Amino acid sequence: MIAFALALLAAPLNLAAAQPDGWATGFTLSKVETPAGIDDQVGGLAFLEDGRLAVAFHRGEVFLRGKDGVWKQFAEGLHEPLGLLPDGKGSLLVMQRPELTRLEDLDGDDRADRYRTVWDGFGLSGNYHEFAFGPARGPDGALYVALNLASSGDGVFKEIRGAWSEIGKADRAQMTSGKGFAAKLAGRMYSRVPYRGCVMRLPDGGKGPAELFATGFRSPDGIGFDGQGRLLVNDNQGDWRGSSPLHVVKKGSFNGHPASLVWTPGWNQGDPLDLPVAKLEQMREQPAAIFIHGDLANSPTQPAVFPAAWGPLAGQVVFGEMNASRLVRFVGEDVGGVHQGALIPFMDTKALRNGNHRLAFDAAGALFVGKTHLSWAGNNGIVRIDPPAQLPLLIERVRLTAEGFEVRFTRPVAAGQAAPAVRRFRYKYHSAYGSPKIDERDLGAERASLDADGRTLRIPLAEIAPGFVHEIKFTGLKGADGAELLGPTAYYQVVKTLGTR
Amino acid sequence: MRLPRRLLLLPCLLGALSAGAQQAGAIDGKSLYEQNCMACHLADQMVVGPSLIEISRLYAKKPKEFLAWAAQPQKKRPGVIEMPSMAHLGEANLLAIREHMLQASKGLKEKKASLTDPMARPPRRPEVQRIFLPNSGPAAIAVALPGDLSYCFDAGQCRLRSVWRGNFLNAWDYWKGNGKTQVVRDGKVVWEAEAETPEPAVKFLGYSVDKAGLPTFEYVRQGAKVRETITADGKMLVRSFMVETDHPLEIPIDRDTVASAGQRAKNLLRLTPAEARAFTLTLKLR
Repeated sequence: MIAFALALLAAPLNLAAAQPDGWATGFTLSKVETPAGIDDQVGGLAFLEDGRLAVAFHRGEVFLRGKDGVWKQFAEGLHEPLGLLPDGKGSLLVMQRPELTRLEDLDGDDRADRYRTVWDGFGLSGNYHEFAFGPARGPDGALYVALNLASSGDGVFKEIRGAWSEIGKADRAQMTSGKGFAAKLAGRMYSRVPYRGCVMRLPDGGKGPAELFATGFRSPDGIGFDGQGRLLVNDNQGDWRGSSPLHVVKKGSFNGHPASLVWTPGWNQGDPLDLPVAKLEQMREQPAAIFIHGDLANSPTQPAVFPAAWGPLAGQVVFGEMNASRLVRFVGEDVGGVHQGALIPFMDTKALRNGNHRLAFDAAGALFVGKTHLSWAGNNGIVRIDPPAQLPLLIERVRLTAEGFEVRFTRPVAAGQAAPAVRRFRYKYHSAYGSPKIDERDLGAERASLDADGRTLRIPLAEIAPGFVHEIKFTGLKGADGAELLGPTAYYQVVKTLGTR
Repeated sequence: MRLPRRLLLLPCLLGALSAGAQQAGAIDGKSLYEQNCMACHLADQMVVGPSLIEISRLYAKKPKEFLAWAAQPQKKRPGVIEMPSMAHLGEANLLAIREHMLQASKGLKEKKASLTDPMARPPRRPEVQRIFLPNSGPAAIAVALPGDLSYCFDAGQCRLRSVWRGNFLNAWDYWKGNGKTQVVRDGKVVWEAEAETPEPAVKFLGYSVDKAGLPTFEYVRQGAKVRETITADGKMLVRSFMVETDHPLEIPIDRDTVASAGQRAKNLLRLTPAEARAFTLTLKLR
């Protein structure tokens, strides 16, 4: 911890020295030194099979870090890389603004000789918000990438790449950058060039022809697969995103933000922004979970799957968060054919700092978190979190039951303590930016009962409502040994209920 | 203006009273600020939106105006995005946030954004940097050549778009942000090509770099597979082509360019498959 405290002092964004808290004492956080002389905002981060760490940085460099901690430059000159995936010995896939690129070291000197374009068949209007995320490799051997919408914070370039879509309130001249840019007509986030707001599938490791996989995204920074091969994509709060959703993405699905519907094959329903909200509501896929704005995440990022070293958390998913010094865990389950579950705060400590963007576990199970800001809230550098010998007291998982919820803890909790406060709420689905929590209602949890093992709490509820976040909040709950419960709130998104409800 | 008073006292805030929030009652303005505002508004410097210092200057004596703005923000500053409405927080919380902003910015001085790049370095020459450039499509590639020439290759149109003499890129406005600005070609532009219309039938395949870092672009044009390497020779730029094709190749050519092979017809150079196998275009620069 001393090393980390010193590192904090030396960091360019100097936060006040963090008070030691339960997280900072229960886990070991340390700073990973980044290559000298570069802007160490991290766009992509992954471990190679040989154990080296590969990192793509803001200004387009890719570095490899040996086990001795020495960095060696592998590639440079990429355009805002925002994802990185090892692709066999000597090769890395990198998603940069204009294309998915395979960096290939042909002569074995640990330096890329070839920057091979794998896929650039999507549009670029020149709008700053058209980020490109991924790739994630599916169990089907295909690569999946996610394309950001453009933002009405600016217009488009005079020269664009890709076919221009005439669907929209403003014509191309009005959308072209400069004083005449019709921001009010554009739509808060817009899709005027191909596949903006879509998830694309590139079969056969990128060799096959690209196909549109799903629509309905806004700013899908986090894309990855869980341990069972489900494609998880999250999105950022904003227009049509009352709070940041997590989607389990199915082929052909529409996931809520209407702008990208124009790329649906055979689309003939005009401007999707003109469709009645009720119709969009009926068309859209419900999120598997919702990152509660302010409480969990304002800008969720990459998912990573906990490996065996994390004991009972193995197989669960952890996400980064840009705005707060926090990560978020997702504990999902299949209910009535739908995958849904709880999001739970994790590493909720100032010692982590914010800007948590790209996540990867090394072979020993240490979690590496790369940070960025891109002039928004965030940070820079890389933080390492080692798996503890024994997990502190956490909510291990939450399950929906026919009667209510069942919460399991990582360690026994003190018997006879107050039941959690349970309430439910939801968000508006509308074109406005964000949403208040609406239809809030306290749900009595007085009948909660602890199993004999002290680790399983059953919480019968009078009612459980689909479409609502169910907040299960513990206040002052201690372990049997007096330890503090870390991350004391779970937010379970009920899409489907069990049994006869 | 009537604001929703939906969110009053969140139970989680009751336990965390802050000293600076007396005026706004028992609401923790600091936490609310951190949750809802800090992403865009830092204490002492402009990030996405103005600093707390500037907000305090604007609204120190104007709580009503603060509430009105937060409920219904508008686009005010050029180049700055319009804030989303914060009406859902409710008047009481917004006032607590304002109180925190006034307290937190007391005595601070506005940090001016750095006008120069703290990580600036001379280009390695040769060096490749993909970035947004003027007079190009968005898939632009900047290359610094040994000597004092640099050029822009447009990977969307698969062709040379501009050449400049002097320094490489002035990119600080780009690097410090999120991609909103085009980068300045940091020298005297000595050659430019307009976009080809109609758009050529091309497919960009990528590039390879030699040991020094000099790129050779690979692309398909009209079914012909092209490899193009661009080097500097004094006041000339030499574009060396190696093309595999089974039919004649046509590429744009201008008055400043001399071809080592092929037939020139107005703005097009026509080469037989044999001629196309290896030829150069030499560009005389001003």
